[in-house]
Amino acid sequence: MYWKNTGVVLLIRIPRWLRDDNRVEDKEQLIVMAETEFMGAADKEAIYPLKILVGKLGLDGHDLGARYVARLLKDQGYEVVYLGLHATPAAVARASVDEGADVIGISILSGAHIPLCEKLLYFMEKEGIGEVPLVVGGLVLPHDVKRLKELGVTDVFPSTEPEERFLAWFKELATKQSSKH
Amino acid sequence: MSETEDNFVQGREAWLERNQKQFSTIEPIVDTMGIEHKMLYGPSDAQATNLYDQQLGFPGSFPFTRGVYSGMYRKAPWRINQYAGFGAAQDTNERWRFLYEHGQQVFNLALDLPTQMGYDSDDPEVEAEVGRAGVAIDTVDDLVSLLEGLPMVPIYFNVAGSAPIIMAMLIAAAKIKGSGPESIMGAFTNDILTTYVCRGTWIYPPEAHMKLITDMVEYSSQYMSPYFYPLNIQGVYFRSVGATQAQELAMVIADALCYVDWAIERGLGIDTFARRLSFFFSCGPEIFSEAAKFRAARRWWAGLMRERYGATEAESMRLKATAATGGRYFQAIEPLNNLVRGAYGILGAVMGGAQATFIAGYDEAYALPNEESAMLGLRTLQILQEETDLTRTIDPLGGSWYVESLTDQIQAKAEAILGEIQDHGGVLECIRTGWTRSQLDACLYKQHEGIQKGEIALVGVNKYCSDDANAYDMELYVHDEEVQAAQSRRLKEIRSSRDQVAWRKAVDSLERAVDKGENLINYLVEVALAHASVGEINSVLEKHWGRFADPNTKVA
Repeated sequence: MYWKNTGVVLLIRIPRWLRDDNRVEDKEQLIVMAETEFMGAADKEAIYPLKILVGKLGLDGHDLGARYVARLLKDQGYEVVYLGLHATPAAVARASVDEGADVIGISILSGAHIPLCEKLLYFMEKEGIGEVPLVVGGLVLPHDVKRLKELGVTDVFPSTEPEERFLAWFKELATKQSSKH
Repeated sequence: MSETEDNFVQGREAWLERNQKQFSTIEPIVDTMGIEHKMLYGPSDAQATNLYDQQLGFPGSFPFTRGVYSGMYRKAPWRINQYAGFGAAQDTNERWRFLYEHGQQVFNLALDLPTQMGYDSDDPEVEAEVGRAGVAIDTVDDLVSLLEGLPMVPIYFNVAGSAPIIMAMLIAAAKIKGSGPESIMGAFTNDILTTYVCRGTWIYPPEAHMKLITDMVEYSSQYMSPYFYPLNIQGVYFRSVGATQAQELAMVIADALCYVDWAIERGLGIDTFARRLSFFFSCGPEIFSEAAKFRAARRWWAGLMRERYGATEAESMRLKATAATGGRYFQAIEPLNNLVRGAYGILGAVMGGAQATFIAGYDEAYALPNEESAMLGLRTLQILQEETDLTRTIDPLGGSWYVESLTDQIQAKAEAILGEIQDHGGVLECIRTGWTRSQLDACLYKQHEGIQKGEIALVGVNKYCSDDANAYDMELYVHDEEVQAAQSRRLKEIRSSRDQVAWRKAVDSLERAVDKGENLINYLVEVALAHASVGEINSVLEKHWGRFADPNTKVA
């Protein structure tokens, strides 16, 4: 969705299938929303559309944070791939290669973040993507933030923290990536 | 409209008119359900009071709006149901004894994620999560240790995916101790349909779990204590991912109807099993709406059971509800405030006539409750029961123009949402397409935006924030890293010391029964008695049905 941030104004049309789809309620509202979002997005400064892989590691089913963050990042104009629940460290590393992710974001609320991230970092190294930034969010206490960073996690965003630093972090990464390309 | 109502409507108009200038700065209030809350309610707003017998009735009688039992809290207060489980069986056994000695009358078990999802503690795939979010149970021997020396009181098992396996182990544990299934009281969460939308603790595809749940319903209706509830349908998880009270109610009822339909399809009579369904709702700061929700839920359910399914026994029409407060309502910043949130949050449930309550630990945003926070939750509920006037009369809000109006409106909203679920192909189809979750995502996102913008106030979080709020002075529960190793050693010992021939035989007959599509509970009990582990039993079932992948991967 790079076009969203390029400032190019297009005349958007709602596709016919969508207009005809009875399941979509409040079509008029949808059209207005889409237009507003488009115009709004066009006003934003252009940023590099990072590809972000969002995953839930382990058996933890608390996906509210992951899904919220995925949507929040998508709204910033980034491309987000969400893997769903019950991803294994090996599967996350593999998917990151397949998707060509610029950054991996993991959400864990089960308390098992240390052993799970250890494994993920191992598989990232094995897949040859040890350089890809890895960020962790969820229920992480301060002493574990330190431990995660020592293990090689790039940054940690505990659920207790407001989202400003989180968004700024991604923006900074996008700027860096943008200057590389 | 009666004369009184007419007079009230005109009077309210005049009152608004008279105070127009004063009221000009007052904004209308429309809640997340889309219900407008008027500044003043009166006789014209409470239609149910005009149809007293049909809409309200007496406690213990149809339509149960005013209470599911005749005596309600005058006879006995609601049950206190604090949730506890961690580490190995002995750790949880100790915490349970502690709570029991301080007046808790039932046990409410948290199982760790590997157990809930069919893995053994020595499975390398899940070793990081053993004993973490709850207690680790691998074989019947762990359940025997868990129950060691405890009084015979109801036990609530919070488990969905592996519920049939754990229920079989519970029956096996009772047999080992010399009693039969008819002695077992308590409940299993077991509400798999909710887990596909939120919480994620399914194992197999929905149809497989529906079959297993129907097995449990059928078995328990035939053999178990009348105080055993094989299915507790959970609104609380919908709420924790963004549902409004009306969505919660609608989704819970939709799930419940799906379970009922499967049982009917199996050939069970509605009056033989409907009494074994129970419910679990969330409660938050909207005290009057929550109370109204419980009232609406009872009335709606009773009507459905009687009209749609032809239930004739009152027990089949009773919607028995547990209520919890905590979850998304509790905040990580200034966590002690959650004690206050807990006390207020549970008021709606109690004034709405819930059968049991649970308040999450104030430290829930950080860790499992420690002994202190578990105790404070228990004490809060005891203070409400013993020191306040909440138990003095039945349905204290009945006849309140405001609450009767909310009760009617919440039921109407929920009925409309149930219609939408059916229009989208029913519960199972909505799970597969992710429709249900996408509805809740949209709602959550809106609420979160409201918090970000300060439109929804959270004291200490986005309003009246204090700079020196130090959240980390709490002494938190610390996970014992040794649990996994100890649990694996124990499992290894059991594997080598059990009767291998009996084990093989039990596993083989379970495999055959799965293939034949029989009711599996008796076979599961046999295999549990042969000391088979959760992982071993699951692998037989998983081989047949496979593991189900998360259907909710779309980013809204």
